Amino acid sequence: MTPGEGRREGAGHAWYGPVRAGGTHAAPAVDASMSLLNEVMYRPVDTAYAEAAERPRVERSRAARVRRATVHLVLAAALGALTVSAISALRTPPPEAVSGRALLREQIEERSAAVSALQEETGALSAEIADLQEDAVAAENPELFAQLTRTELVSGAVAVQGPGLEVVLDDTAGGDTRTDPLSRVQALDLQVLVNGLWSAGAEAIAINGERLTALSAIRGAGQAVLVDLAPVLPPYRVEAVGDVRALQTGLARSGAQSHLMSIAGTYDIDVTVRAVPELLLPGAGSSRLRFADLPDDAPLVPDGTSTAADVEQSAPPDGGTP
Amino acid sequence: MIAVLGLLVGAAVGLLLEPTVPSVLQPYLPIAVVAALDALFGGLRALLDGTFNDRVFLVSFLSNVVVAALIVFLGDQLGVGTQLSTAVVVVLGIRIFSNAAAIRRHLFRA
Repeated sequence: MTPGEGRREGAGHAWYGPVRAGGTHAAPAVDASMSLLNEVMYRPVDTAYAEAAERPRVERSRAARVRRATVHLVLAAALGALTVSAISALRTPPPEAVSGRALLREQIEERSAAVSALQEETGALSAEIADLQEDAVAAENPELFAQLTRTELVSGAVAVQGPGLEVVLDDTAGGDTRTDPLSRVQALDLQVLVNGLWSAGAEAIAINGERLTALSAIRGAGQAVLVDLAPVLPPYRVEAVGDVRALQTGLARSGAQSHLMSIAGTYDIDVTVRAVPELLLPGAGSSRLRFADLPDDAPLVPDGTSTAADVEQSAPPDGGTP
Repeated sequence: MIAVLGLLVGAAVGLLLEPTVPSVLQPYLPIAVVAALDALFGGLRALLDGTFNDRVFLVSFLSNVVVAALIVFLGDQLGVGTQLSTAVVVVLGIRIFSNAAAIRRHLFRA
């Protein structure tokens, strides 16, 4: 078959063409293989409408007309209700997702409240213990009490107050639009800064109110920075209590200063260092008893067989007796 | 015309009562709505052509919705659910577009 024949043949077939009389958008019949596309493009309206229009009208009785109209009305109403409810069901998020979120949020809030309640209780109990310790020890052994106070201060168990330096690292300047995790303050930056402050002679350091002790860890977990497993958020406020002048010169001489300069220059992180006449750092909470020793002249347990060595040995390996 | 009236009444009832669609039917809703749109546009075009017929409109509406949902169901069972959904949306989309174009020609003579 030549192309010319095909075209003639195609033009002869009415089923290709527009359905409307006097078609304003006649389909050029090119090829039989195009019939599917032509069908879709040029006969989109249901042919049933045209067929129904061509069918001769049937005369029905009045009762039959009413019955027909009723059926149509009911069916149409059902379809309308179905469509609208489908649309509204698509527009609202699935209830399971919503309730799951709400449940999770509820749980988070509940646990957070429990944590803060427990923290409050810990604080109150610590204060009570400290009071009792003071009462018991201060009268009997003032020297020991002085040593205890000094140790508590140095170990970060109690709150301290005094002049010091405040270093703020802020990576949220200019809106929180940073996508590159590298351009944010890393745990490493805080570690370098804190080590610099310790070496400059800081007596106590806290990051965003989390007091650092000899056992504290500053770690990065994903994009979050954790101080003693508690997440801290920018801006990071590092407060160090100590001799202000010594801290300033010590920090300037240490490697921390050049590190801060480099992150400020490279990643556009705001670094501000200022002296504060009065800083108040919270305590790190109660410390664990890790090592115990019986004084030489202490009365032994009633049967008199237990010795200091036994006590040390019988302590659990991690010494974790609170 | 009774069909259009009934459709409007049903839509109003659906808006007022806000019935919940069983979750079993949820995956078929988008395609069903597209099919309903196709039937609506076809009916509107037929109305402008002067060939509108309540019975044809209702039957095409119902069969469009049912067939579309059935195709998606079949596709899901065969593991080609998304592809079949795409095919249905493409075909219905072309039909809606050309019906809309015909309606536009009717209304604006352009």
